[in-house]
Amino acid sequence: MNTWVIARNTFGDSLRKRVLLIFLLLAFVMLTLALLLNYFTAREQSTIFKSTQLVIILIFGALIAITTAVFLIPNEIERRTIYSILSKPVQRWEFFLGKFLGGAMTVGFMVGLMSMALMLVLFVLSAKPPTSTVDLGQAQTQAVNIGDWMHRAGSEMLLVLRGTLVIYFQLIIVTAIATTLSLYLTPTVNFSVTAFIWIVGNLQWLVSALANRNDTKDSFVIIPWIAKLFYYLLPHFHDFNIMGSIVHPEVAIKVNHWVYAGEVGAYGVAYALLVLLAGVLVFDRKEV
Amino acid sequence: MAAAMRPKRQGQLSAAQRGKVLALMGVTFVASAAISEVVKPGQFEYQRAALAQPEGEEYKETQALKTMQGTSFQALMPTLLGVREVLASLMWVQADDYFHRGEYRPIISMVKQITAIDPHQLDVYATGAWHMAYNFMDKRLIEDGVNFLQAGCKNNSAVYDLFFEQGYMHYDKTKDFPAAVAAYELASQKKTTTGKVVPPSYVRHQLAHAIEKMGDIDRCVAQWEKNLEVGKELEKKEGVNPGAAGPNTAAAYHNLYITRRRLNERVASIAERERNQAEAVKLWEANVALADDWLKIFPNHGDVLKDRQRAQNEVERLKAGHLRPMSMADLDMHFTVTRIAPRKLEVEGTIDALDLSRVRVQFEDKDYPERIKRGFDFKMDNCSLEWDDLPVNKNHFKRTIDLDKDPADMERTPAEIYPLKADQYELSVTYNPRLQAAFIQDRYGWNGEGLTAKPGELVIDDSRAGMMNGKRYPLRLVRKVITLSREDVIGKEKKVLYKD
Repeated sequence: MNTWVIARNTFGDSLRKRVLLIFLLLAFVMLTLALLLNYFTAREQSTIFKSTQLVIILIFGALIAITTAVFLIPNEIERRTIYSILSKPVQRWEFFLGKFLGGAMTVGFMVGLMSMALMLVLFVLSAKPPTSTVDLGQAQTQAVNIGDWMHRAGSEMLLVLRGTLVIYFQLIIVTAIATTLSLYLTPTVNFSVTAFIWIVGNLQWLVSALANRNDTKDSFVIIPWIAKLFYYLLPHFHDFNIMGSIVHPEVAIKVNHWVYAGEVGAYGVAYALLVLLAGVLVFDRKEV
Repeated sequence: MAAAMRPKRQGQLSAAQRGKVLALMGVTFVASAAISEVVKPGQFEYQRAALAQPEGEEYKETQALKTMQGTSFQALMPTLLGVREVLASLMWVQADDYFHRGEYRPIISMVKQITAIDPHQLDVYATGAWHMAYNFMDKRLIEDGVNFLQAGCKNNSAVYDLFFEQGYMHYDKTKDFPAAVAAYELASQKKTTTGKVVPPSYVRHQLAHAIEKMGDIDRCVAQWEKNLEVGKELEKKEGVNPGAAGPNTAAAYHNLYITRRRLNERVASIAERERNQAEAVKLWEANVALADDWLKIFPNHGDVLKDRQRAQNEVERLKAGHLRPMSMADLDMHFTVTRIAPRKLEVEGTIDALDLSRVRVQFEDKDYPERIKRGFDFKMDNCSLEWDDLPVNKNHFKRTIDLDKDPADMERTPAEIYPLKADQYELSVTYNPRLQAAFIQDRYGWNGEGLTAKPGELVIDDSRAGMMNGKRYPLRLVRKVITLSREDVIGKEKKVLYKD
């Protein structure tokens, strides 16, 4: 219960921060700028628009997640508000998890807003059939078929929903890492370290491949084990990369997309929990 | 022990609770590792799809590294960071900007880079190939456009789009109609990008047109019948839509009727030439019956009524014994090639063919097909190829093949487009009945059944034979080839190089 109260207050505090609103505003400006690509065919426009916008949501979402999380606990310590909270019957782990949950809610709210903007634009763009250069001329002379439009818009929105959900689960891990690291590091250093972990996490498939190379196994037996340990300890952000299936839904992939989204979601939650439990132990003994 | 000795503050965990948290950490670590193993095959499928790797291979962990090794340098960073699609999209915006500024030169390498980064950019393949085969106006690049589309088809084999583009390039540009048919055939069996099982009607209709150009009229009729059936089925679901992408049964009806009518007419003409009166009567009667059938569907259709009247008149004429067999048209082609300036060859000739016929004049290295096998760079530096389809006007055709200017005004030097580095060149003049308009084919036939020429100029090609009413008709075309030396082409003074 205490956790939830702290989370709500943190969420409210975070939304009042100007820096987050600036990020959000920038993201909206970039969303709007992409609409200027209307000189392409509808299919080209859709491909370009979706790919750029999902990356914008990912990058600005990560910026918002890190910026929010790195200040969550240091600000409480700096303003000394943490003492009054911890002097009440509040467990330290409740405080820590509450701060994280508030940060995760903030990130969810921001990503949700950007996703809704993207969906709104895609809804409008879906009025045009996804023509190629072949049937462009004909499509321009055709009246909009409301039924087809709704069908296309529904499909596009489901794609975006899946894409942004997976992005959000990725950002939950980022938020958990930044929140836990904020117990050790100053916000500036924390920002850089979390961003570095995010990049390394995106290269994890390369580590996995190196760990399983036959020639590496033969030459020096310890290297694959180190690589494997490294692989399991660091987050697998590359598993969250499903961009191709959103941008090119026509490409056949032998995967149940929603099941996969659920699996990486479960991974995101499990890994974030692991990081948070480490944070709980550290915060429990932290001198505040 | 030391932790246990430390005094517990307000809100801190007890030693037992810390132990539980540690145990929970162990459980979540194992859980996250286990889930990541569950996720891995799915992620591999996403990666394989992103790189257009072939399906059906057994999943192996080291496959990811092999994928990496096969990735081009341009695609490396976006692949590593998982933003290949957005990078490809942004590069395409830049390539489009180059195009609209008239800077065509960087486009070829850019489109190749883009498709290496994201091999599912259908419009990049389609537009890139279009640039190569059309906009650069360099005939040597047409095969590169075709090859680029071929790569696109391989990487996007689930949807019809690039197969259709490839078919059209063969149909319109290379005039390789069997290749066009093969591509359209595949396109007609593929899905759309929006998941529709049946591609737009223009795909099936183009297939039928290509089969007709190939000369296999029996198969063409069968294809139009199939197109009509597919269109009718689609109309039941989608309603009437005469647009090129809709069911468009109107076009299928029209083309089926007109192909059957022409088939009967043209085979009747052959029968009459062979003085086979009974066969000719039978074929014209078939046209009367065809018109009657069509009038049941389209009552009082003006053109069909006229066709019926004409067929009826022919039946009556033939039954009355008034045969008017038309002999084969001797095209009697002659031409002169004059060098009017260095790198400028004027081709002027006469041909006894109908007005608005097209005569193809082609200039190339003598062993062009062999020379280009030495690679793209060699081809661009050393090989020359140009052609033009000249209109016949009052039995006369004339055109200057200008090898001294950039045909697209892209400020390329003439030597870039026409290096003229071979010792010998071939200049061919060809009259191909398959490249003619329908009203001209009414006289000479789909396969040149109604044309002839001097021995040595008439080419009878059984490997490209057509089919009409179950009978095989070899392609008959008129072709004359002369050989020119390099000096003939680049010499300074005006000189007649060939005259017959």
